[in-house]
Amino acid sequence: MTMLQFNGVHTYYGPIHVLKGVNYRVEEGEIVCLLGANGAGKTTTMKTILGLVRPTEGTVVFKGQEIGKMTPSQVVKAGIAPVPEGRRVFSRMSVSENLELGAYVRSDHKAIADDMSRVFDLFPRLKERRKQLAGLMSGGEQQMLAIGRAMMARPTLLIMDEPSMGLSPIFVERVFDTVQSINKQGVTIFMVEQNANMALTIANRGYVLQNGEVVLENDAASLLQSELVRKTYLGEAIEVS
Amino acid sequence: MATIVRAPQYRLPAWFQNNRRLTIGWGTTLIIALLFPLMLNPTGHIQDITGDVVEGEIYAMLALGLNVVVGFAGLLDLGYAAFFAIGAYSFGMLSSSHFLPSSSFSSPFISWGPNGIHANFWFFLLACAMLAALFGLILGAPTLRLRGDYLAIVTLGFGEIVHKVVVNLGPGSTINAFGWPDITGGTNSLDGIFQPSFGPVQFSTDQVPWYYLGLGVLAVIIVIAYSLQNSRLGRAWVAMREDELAAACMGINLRNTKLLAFSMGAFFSGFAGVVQGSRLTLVDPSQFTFQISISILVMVVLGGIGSVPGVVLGAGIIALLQFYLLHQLNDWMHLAGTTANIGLLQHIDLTQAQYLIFGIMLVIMMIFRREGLIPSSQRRRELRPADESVLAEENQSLYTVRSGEA
Repeated sequence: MTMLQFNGVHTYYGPIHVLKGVNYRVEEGEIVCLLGANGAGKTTTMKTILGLVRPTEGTVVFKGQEIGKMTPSQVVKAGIAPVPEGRRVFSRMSVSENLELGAYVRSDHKAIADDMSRVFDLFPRLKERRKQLAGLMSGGEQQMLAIGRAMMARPTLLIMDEPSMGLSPIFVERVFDTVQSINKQGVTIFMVEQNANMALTIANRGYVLQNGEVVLENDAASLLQSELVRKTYLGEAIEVS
Repeated sequence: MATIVRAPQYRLPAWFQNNRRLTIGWGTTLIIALLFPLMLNPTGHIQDITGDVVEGEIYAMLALGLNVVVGFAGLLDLGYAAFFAIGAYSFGMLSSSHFLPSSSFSSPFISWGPNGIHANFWFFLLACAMLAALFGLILGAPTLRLRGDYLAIVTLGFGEIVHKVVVNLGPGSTINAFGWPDITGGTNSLDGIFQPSFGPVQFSTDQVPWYYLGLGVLAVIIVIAYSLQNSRLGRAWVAMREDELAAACMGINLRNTKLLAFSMGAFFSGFAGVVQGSRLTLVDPSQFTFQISISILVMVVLGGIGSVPGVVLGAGIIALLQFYLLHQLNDWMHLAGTTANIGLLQHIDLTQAQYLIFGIMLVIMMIFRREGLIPSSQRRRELRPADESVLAEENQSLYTVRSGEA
């Protein structure tokens, strides 16, 4: 089943044309990775899914339902949970308060308590620190909290905007491990990443975005081998002829 | 071998155990408040003082309402007196001899005839508060996209607009030339507002019934404020105040959450407006100026933004200063001036310097105790994140984690 589909989506910030007719497709159970340079439109893609940016043309379809005109709260209720860029944890709230807010759209208290235990199983670190203010934790712990918080909404699709940004190499690896284990629990993942090597290692498929257009689309293994990705994102030496 | 017999333990309700300090604090306050008129003078009533105390109660209602907007939701509102005015004027127009209809009508809620319009106080206490809440929505809707300073400016403008409209819908303004009738009484004030009765008690110039009415309304507002704070909506307000984008990512509907903050805040001030209008039997534009909006904000900041007991204390302190301490200080100054023969002290009038004194108090506060006199736990954490004692009394979690993990 197709989880998420972009059909010729165009978006604008005022006069600036950002996404220029992009098409993405995310199948159920996949990890799909979106690569691109700064300003290519990766974050705009995430904002478009959430309903923070409206497509002027084209449709965004989630499980057969058009979500392009929905508000963020409707999108989250439909089953999409975001892990926003820069983590954006509620820094002056405790870890458990952050997780409770993640379950804001739900009202099944018993299941929420179970899910909180599940998040603590996934991140024992958070359990230790559940009474601590989120803002006093390290970047990696905050990223775990942001992921845990998104999981509290019991999403079917998790959208992640640069989960490895600003993290130490050990935490980057941990975050990608977590992404994989969440995926194994049946959650589909669509993520934006700068760390192409790591992202493509765990992803099923990937898209490369340049100036608002998809220039390359393939399964992850082939993308890792492709010349464009190797030269642009993996820092391989460009031969001067 | 001796067996130890344990006496059966009486356990207090869980709610009380979790909020012991709160319950004891409010309980004591309530008892003192109930006995207050008797303590002043057991044989009779000192009307002047209780009148000012009722004024203080109205301040507390207003401060609690503004606290919902500023403290809970983090939206700076500088025109809050407008909602106070809407509550007072709507009740004033519906229950006074200001309008003298030629026809007659009678119903349990409202009746009118050549003597004026009579509205049922108890019903319209709620209805006028709801009207104020509706105006809260009207103010909220165009300001949804504004934040911080910009929001403050628009709300300031709204406060001024309501004030000017009230002045200009009266006699002697230019609109009369276009054949508009006198609607609000303008600067002549709207008078002849009817006063309610409750069973055998007739509310009139005797301030004691008003005092108890104010206490009742205040109690209701305090209970509502606490339940709002601990509700889902309260959590959404805190999240929105912290980070709007992250709040939206949690599925919080920012539009509704903001609008509800404005209208809930306005709702409380509607109560205050009805009580004040009926108590004084008149409403006048000078009661709803920008200075009032600022005074209410000072009460909230002084007591502790977002803290229910703090805000009530803040209102009490401002009322005490304004109605009692400044006058007392004035008298002492004059006495000292006369005794020492210092001209300046003889003629000084501290009540004129009220806002200067408020200002100085705020500056001192900002230096030594930014979080307010009785800070909310949230605000205390925000301003003193490293304070260990704050972390120790962390709020109770809404959901208990699976057993064996404590």
